[in-house]
Amino acid sequence: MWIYQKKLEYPVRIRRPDARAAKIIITQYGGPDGELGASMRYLSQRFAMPYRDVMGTLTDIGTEELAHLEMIGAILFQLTRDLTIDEIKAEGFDAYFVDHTTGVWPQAASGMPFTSATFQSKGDPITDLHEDMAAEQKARTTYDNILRLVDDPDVRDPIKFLREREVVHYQRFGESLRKVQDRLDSRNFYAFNPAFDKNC
Amino acid sequence: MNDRASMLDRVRAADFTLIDAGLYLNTHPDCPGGLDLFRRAQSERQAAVRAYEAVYGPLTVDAAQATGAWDWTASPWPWEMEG
Repeated sequence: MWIYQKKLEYPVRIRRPDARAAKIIITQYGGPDGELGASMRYLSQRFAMPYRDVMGTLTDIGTEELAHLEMIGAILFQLTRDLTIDEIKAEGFDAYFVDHTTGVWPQAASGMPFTSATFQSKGDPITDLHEDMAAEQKARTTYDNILRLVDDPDVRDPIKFLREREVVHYQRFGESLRKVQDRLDSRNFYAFNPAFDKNC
Repeated sequence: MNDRASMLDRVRAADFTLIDAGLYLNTHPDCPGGLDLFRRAQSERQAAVRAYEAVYGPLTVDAAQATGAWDWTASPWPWEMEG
Protein backbone atom coordinates (compact mmCIF):
# COMPACT_ATOMS: atom_id res chain seq x y z
CA MET A 1 0.00 0.00 0.00
CA TRP A 2 0.98 3.63 -0.20
CA ILE A 3 0.62 6.77 1.91
CA TYR A 4 0.50 10.13 0.13
CA GLN A 5 2.87 12.89 1.23
CA LYS A 6 1.56 16.38 0.53
CA LYS A 7 4.77 17.58 -1.14
CA LEU A 8 6.75 17.07 -4.34
CA GLU A 9 9.99 15.06 -4.24
CA TYR A 10 11.72 18.14 -5.72
CA PRO A 11 10.09 21.59 -6.02
CA VAL A 12 8.41 22.79 -9.23
CA ARG A 13 7.95 26.58 -9.41
CA ILE A 14 7.34 27.74 -12.99
CA ARG A 15 6.45 31.41 -13.39
CA ARG A 16 5.92 31.65 -17.17
CA PRO A 17 3.35 29.50 -19.03
CA ASP A 18 4.68 27.85 -22.19
CA ALA A 19 2.33 25.54 -24.08
CA ARG A 20 5.05 24.58 -26.56
CA ALA A 21 7.22 23.18 -23.74
CA ALA A 22 4.19 21.37 -22.25
CA LYS A 23 3.56 19.62 -25.59
CA ILE A 24 7.08 18.16 -25.43
CA ILE A 25 7.33 17.40 -21.70
CA ILE A 26 3.98 15.55 -21.63
CA THR A 27 5.84 12.62 -23.17
CA GLN A 28 7.41 11.97 -19.75
CA TYR A 29 3.89 11.77 -18.28
CA GLY A 30 2.41 9.15 -20.60
CA GLY A 31 4.90 8.49 -23.40
CA PRO A 32 6.94 5.39 -24.28
CA ASP A 33 9.78 6.18 -21.84
CA GLY A 34 7.70 8.19 -19.37
CA GLU A 35 7.29 8.02 -15.61
CA LEU A 36 3.90 6.28 -15.64
CA GLY A 37 5.21 3.41 -17.74
CA ALA A 38 8.34 3.22 -15.59
CA SER A 39 6.33 2.95 -12.39
CA MET A 40 3.93 0.33 -13.79
CA ARG A 41 6.86 -1.69 -15.21
CA TYR A 42 8.73 -2.00 -11.88
CA LEU A 43 5.67 -2.35 -9.66
CA SER A 44 4.38 -5.15 -11.92
CA GLN A 45 7.70 -6.96 -12.36
CA ARG A 46 8.33 -7.24 -8.62
CA PHE A 47 5.72 -9.96 -8.07
CA ALA A 48 7.72 -12.51 -10.07
CA MET A 49 11.08 -11.47 -8.56
CA PRO A 50 12.33 -14.29 -6.31
CA TYR A 51 14.90 -12.25 -4.31
CA ARG A 52 13.86 -9.93 -1.48
CA ASP A 53 16.60 -7.33 -2.02
CA VAL A 54 15.60 -6.90 -5.67
CA MET A 55 11.87 -6.94 -4.75
CA GLY A 56 12.79 -3.98 -2.54
CA THR A 57 14.57 -2.09 -5.30
CA LEU A 58 11.67 -2.63 -7.74
CA THR A 59 9.19 -1.46 -5.08
CA ASP A 60 11.24 1.58 -4.06
CA ILE A 61 12.09 2.74 -7.59
CA GLY A 62 8.51 2.02 -8.75
CA THR A 63 7.32 4.22 -5.90
CA GLU A 64 9.81 7.00 -6.67
CA GLU A 65 8.60 6.98 -10.30
CA LEU A 66 5.11 7.90 -9.00
CA ALA A 67 6.68 10.91 -7.31
CA HIS A 68 8.31 11.77 -10.65
CA LEU A 69 4.95 11.38 -12.43
CA GLU A 70 3.55 13.92 -9.97
CA MET A 71 6.43 16.33 -10.68
CA ILE A 72 5.82 16.07 -14.44
CA GLY A 73 2.10 16.65 -13.82
CA ALA A 74 2.95 19.75 -11.78
CA ILE A 75 5.24 21.00 -14.57
CA LEU A 76 2.45 20.49 -17.16
CA PHE A 77 -0.14 22.15 -14.93
CA GLN A 78 2.06 25.20 -14.32
CA LEU A 79 3.13 25.47 -17.98
CA THR A 80 -0.49 25.55 -19.17
CA ARG A 81 -1.94 27.71 -16.38
CA ASP A 82 -3.46 31.07 -17.41
CA LEU A 83 -2.96 30.53 -21.16
CA THR A 84 -5.09 32.70 -23.44
CA ILE A 85 -6.87 31.24 -26.48
CA ASP A 86 -4.52 33.26 -28.71
CA GLU A 87 -1.47 31.69 -27.01
CA ILE A 88 -3.04 28.22 -27.27
CA LYS A 89 -3.48 28.71 -31.02
CA ALA A 90 -0.11 30.39 -31.60
CA GLU A 91 1.83 27.75 -29.65
CA GLY A 92 0.14 24.81 -31.40
CA PHE A 93 -1.67 23.60 -28.26
CA ASP A 94 -5.09 23.66 -29.97
CA ALA A 95 -5.15 19.96 -30.94
CA TYR A 96 -4.59 18.91 -27.30
CA PHE A 97 -6.90 21.65 -26.03
CA VAL A 98 -9.90 20.47 -28.04
CA ASP A 99 -9.78 17.05 -26.34
CA HIS A 100 -8.58 17.91 -22.82
CA THR A 101 -8.79 21.72 -22.37
CA THR A 102 -5.77 22.16 -20.05
CA GLY A 103 -6.39 18.94 -18.09
CA VAL A 104 -3.37 16.67 -17.66
CA TRP A 105 -3.77 13.37 -19.56
CA PRO A 106 -1.16 10.63 -20.13
CA GLN A 107 -0.02 10.66 -23.74
CA ALA A 108 3.23 10.82 -25.72
CA ALA A 109 4.44 14.04 -27.35
CA SER A 110 3.23 12.52 -30.64
CA GLY A 111 -0.33 12.27 -29.23
CA MET A 112 -0.19 8.48 -28.78
CA PRO A 113 -2.20 7.55 -25.65
CA PHE A 114 -0.46 5.90 -22.70
CA THR A 115 -0.10 2.17 -23.29
CA SER A 116 1.39 -0.78 -21.44
CA ALA A 117 2.58 -2.02 -24.85
CA THR A 118 5.79 0.00 -24.32
CA PHE A 119 7.01 -2.14 -21.40
CA GLN A 120 7.31 -5.76 -20.33
CA SER A 121 6.86 -7.87 -17.25
CA LYS A 122 8.53 -11.02 -18.53
CA GLY A 123 8.61 -13.13 -15.38
CA ASP A 124 12.38 -13.67 -15.68
CA PRO A 125 14.70 -11.67 -13.38
CA ILE A 126 17.59 -11.36 -15.87
CA THR A 127 15.30 -10.33 -18.73
CA ASP A 128 13.34 -7.85 -16.61
CA LEU A 129 16.44 -6.21 -15.09
CA HIS A 130 18.01 -5.77 -18.53
CA GLU A 131 14.80 -4.07 -19.65
CA ASP A 132 14.87 -1.87 -16.54
CA MET A 133 18.43 -0.70 -17.22
CA ALA A 134 17.50 0.10 -20.83
CA ALA A 135 14.36 1.91 -19.64
CA GLU A 136 16.40 4.20 -17.37
CA GLN A 137 18.75 5.04 -20.26
CA LYS A 138 15.82 5.73 -22.61
CA ALA A 139 14.30 8.08 -20.04
CA ARG A 140 17.70 9.75 -19.55
CA THR A 141 17.97 10.35 -23.31
CA THR A 142 14.44 11.80 -23.33
CA TYR A 143 15.36 14.24 -20.54
CA ASP A 144 18.55 15.15 -22.43
CA ASN A 145 16.39 15.92 -25.48
CA ILE A 146 13.98 18.01 -23.38
CA LEU A 147 16.98 19.99 -22.06
CA ARG A 148 18.04 20.61 -25.69
CA LEU A 149 14.57 21.99 -26.50
CA VAL A 150 13.64 24.04 -23.40
CA ASP A 151 15.41 27.23 -22.26
CA ASP A 152 13.42 28.38 -19.19
CA PRO A 153 15.57 27.74 -16.06
CA ASP A 154 12.37 27.25 -13.97
CA VAL A 155 11.58 24.23 -16.16
CA ARG A 156 15.14 22.98 -16.67
CA ASP A 157 15.86 22.77 -12.93
CA PRO A 158 13.33 20.00 -12.04
CA ILE A 159 14.02 18.28 -15.40
CA LYS A 160 17.73 18.10 -14.48
CA PHE A 161 16.82 16.53 -11.14
CA LEU A 162 14.69 13.90 -12.91
CA ARG A 163 17.51 13.20 -15.39
CA GLU A 164 19.94 12.57 -12.53
CA ARG A 165 17.55 10.08 -10.93
CA GLU A 166 17.52 8.04 -14.16
CA VAL A 167 21.29 7.71 -13.87
CA VAL A 168 21.08 6.60 -10.22
CA HIS A 169 18.30 4.10 -10.95
CA TYR A 170 20.33 2.64 -13.84
CA GLN A 171 23.19 2.13 -11.40
CA ARG A 172 20.99 0.40 -8.81
CA PHE A 173 19.38 -1.89 -11.41
CA GLY A 174 22.87 -2.82 -12.66
CA GLU A 175 23.87 -3.79 -9.12
CA SER A 176 20.62 -5.74 -8.77
CA LEU A 177 21.39 -7.67 -11.95
CA ARG A 178 24.84 -8.52 -10.58
CA LYS A 179 23.28 -9.73 -7.31
CA VAL A 180 20.85 -11.94 -9.26
CA GLN A 181 23.67 -13.39 -11.36
CA ASP A 182 25.74 -14.07 -8.22
CA ARG A 183 23.01 -16.52 -7.17
CA LEU A 184 22.94 -18.36 -10.52
CA ASP A 185 25.22 -20.85 -12.26
CA SER A 186 28.20 -18.71 -13.36
CA ARG A 187 28.86 -21.08 -16.29
CA ASN A 188 25.36 -20.46 -17.67
CA PHE A 189 23.18 -17.73 -16.16
CA TYR A 190 20.36 -18.89 -18.42
CA ALA A 191 20.37 -22.55 -17.32
CA PHE A 192 17.02 -21.92 -15.64
CA ASN A 193 14.59 -19.12 -14.81
CA PRO A 194 14.68 -18.70 -11.02
CA ALA A 195 11.22 -17.11 -11.11
CA PHE A 196 9.67 -20.20 -12.73
CA ASP A 197 11.91 -23.28 -12.33
CA LYS A 198 11.39 -23.48 -8.58
CA ASN A 199 13.16 -26.84 -8.14
CA CYS A 200 16.49 -25.51 -9.31
CA MET B 1 11.96 31.94 -0.39
CA ASN B 2 9.35 32.06 2.37
CA ASP B 3 9.45 30.20 5.69
CA ARG B 4 7.02 27.60 4.47
CA ALA B 5 9.16 26.74 1.45
CA SER B 6 12.36 26.59 3.48
CA MET B 7 10.79 24.40 6.17
CA LEU B 8 9.41 22.12 3.46
CA ASP B 9 12.84 22.01 1.81
CA ARG B 10 14.25 20.75 5.12
CA VAL B 11 11.74 17.87 5.09
CA ARG B 12 12.43 17.25 1.42
CA ALA B 13 16.20 17.10 1.91
CA ALA B 14 15.90 14.54 4.72
CA ASP B 15 13.34 12.56 2.75
CA PHE B 16 15.53 12.52 -0.33
CA THR B 17 18.45 11.22 1.71
CA LEU B 18 16.20 8.39 2.93
CA ILE B 19 15.12 7.58 -0.65
CA ASP B 20 18.63 7.67 -2.09
CA ALA B 21 20.45 5.99 0.81
CA GLY B 22 17.66 3.40 1.04
CA LEU B 23 18.11 2.44 -2.63
CA TYR B 24 21.86 2.25 -2.10
CA LEU B 25 21.43 0.04 0.97
CA ASN B 26 19.24 -2.40 -0.98
CA THR B 27 22.36 -3.37 -2.92
CA HIS B 28 24.98 -2.49 -0.23
CA PRO B 29 23.27 -3.65 2.99
CA ASP B 30 26.51 -3.90 5.01
CA CYS B 31 27.94 -0.46 4.23
CA PRO B 32 28.56 1.32 7.59
CA GLY B 33 28.65 4.77 5.96
CA GLY B 34 25.34 4.15 4.21
CA LEU B 35 23.69 2.87 7.37
CA ASP B 36 24.98 5.86 9.33
CA LEU B 37 23.70 8.31 6.70
CA PHE B 38 20.28 6.63 6.75
CA ARG B 39 20.07 6.73 10.56
CA ARG B 40 20.93 10.43 10.69
CA ALA B 41 18.34 11.22 8.00
CA GLN B 42 15.68 9.28 9.94
CA SER B 43 15.97 11.51 13.00
CA GLU B 44 16.40 14.68 10.90
CA ARG B 45 13.21 13.85 8.96
CA GLN B 46 11.26 13.27 12.15
CA ALA B 47 12.30 16.65 13.55
CA ALA B 48 11.72 18.47 10.23
CA VAL B 49 8.24 16.98 9.76
CA ARG B 50 7.23 17.80 13.33
CA ALA B 51 8.39 21.43 12.91
CA TYR B 52 6.63 21.84 9.54
CA GLU B 53 3.35 20.23 10.54
CA ALA B 54 3.09 22.31 13.73
CA VAL B 55 2.88 25.47 11.62
CA TYR B 56 1.59 24.50 8.15
CA GLY B 57 -0.59 21.43 8.66
CA PRO B 58 -0.36 17.73 7.85
CA LEU B 59 2.00 16.23 5.27
CA THR B 60 0.28 12.83 5.56
CA VAL B 61 -3.37 12.21 6.35
CA ASP B 62 -2.56 10.38 9.59
CA ALA B 63 -1.30 13.74 10.95
CA ALA B 64 -4.54 15.58 10.11
CA GLN B 65 -6.52 17.38 12.82
CA ALA B 66 -9.78 15.55 13.52
CA THR B 67 -10.77 17.90 16.31
CA GLY B 68 -12.37 21.16 15.22
CA ALA B 69 -11.98 21.85 11.49
CA TRP B 70 -10.61 19.18 9.10
CA ASP B 71 -7.24 20.53 7.91
CA TRP B 72 -6.06 17.88 5.40
CA THR B 73 -7.61 19.76 2.47
CA ALA B 74 -7.19 23.27 3.89
CA SER B 75 -3.54 23.79 2.90
CA PRO B 76 -2.37 24.10 -0.75
CA TRP B 77 -1.63 20.99 -2.85
CA PRO B 78 1.95 20.52 -4.05
CA TRP B 79 1.37 21.46 -7.69
CA GLU B 80 -0.06 24.88 -6.76
CA MET B 81 3.43 26.43 -7.03
CA GLU B 82 4.15 25.40 -3.44
CA GLY B 83 6.59 22.67 -4.46
